[in-house]
Amino acid sequence: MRMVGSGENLFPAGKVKGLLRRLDTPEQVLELLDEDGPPVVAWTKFAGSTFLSPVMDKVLAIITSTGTNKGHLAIVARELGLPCVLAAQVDERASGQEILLDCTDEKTARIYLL
Amino acid sequence: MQEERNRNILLMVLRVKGAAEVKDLCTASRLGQTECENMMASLVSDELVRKNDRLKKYVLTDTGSKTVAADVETLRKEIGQSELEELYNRFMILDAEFKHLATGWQVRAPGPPPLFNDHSDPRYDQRIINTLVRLHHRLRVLLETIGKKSSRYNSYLARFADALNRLSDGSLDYFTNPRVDSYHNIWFELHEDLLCLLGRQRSE
Repeated sequence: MRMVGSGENLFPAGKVKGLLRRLDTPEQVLELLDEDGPPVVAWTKFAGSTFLSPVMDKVLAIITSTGTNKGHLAIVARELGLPCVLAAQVDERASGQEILLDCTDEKTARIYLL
Repeated sequence: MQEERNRNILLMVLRVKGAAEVKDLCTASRLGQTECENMMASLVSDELVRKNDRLKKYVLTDTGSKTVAADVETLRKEIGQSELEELYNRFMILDAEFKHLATGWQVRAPGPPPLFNDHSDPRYDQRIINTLVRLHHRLRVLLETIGKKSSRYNSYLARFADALNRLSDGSLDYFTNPRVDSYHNIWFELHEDLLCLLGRQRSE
């Protein structure tokens, strides 16, 4: 497995496998809601996007390039028990690929290409 | 006048939420279901909104998005950029306090690993709710100021008051749970609304 990214782990949450998918617009969120595809790990630039709310129940985890542990996304992820990676740096080429998200460490989450 | 106001509220709810079912639109607009459904049918007929039948959710069309942008631009000019900036700066002072409070509601010690609040200590929870009540009074003053510029903002005030009442009555979900119209959900949406009004993107 090759590590393709890492970020701040909001809370220890085990490991999840899924398709890494960009969700940066309301249209991308609707597309995801409207299909019965494989399990998805959401990856967004915008930690404060209200348009992500409808999809939070459908994704396995959420990775964001921004955000803090007191931000809106962190508050929602904690409430749902949803694995969440903040201020993540991820190789853009990982988008659309199967990944393993390792959220076992207390501080750092790591993303691997499967 | 009232119809125009309701129409503006519903369009802005969709702008902020991205997609919403009728029940979410009713909650956010404070309209009854029949009135809300009639209004949505009218917006669909005007091609400002479309309905995804499979998801049972409404979304803005391109025309609807442009209409919202134009309405927001008009309001921005009416209020004036400098007054808006001043209102937003006042909101951001409250925002920092609110996020700190909401995080404290969820996490008793930051860790790592974080010690989650399991709500087994009513005194801890009550202290946070008391602080929220004080914050709510300060937010109300701010929202009443904005509400004088656009009555659309009065619906936020009613939703906040409702969430706070439910929380005070023991429905703990009404602080931060995203599955109900919780205080945090409403705050999140108000923040997005104000950013839209300012013509800014969220920084985080």
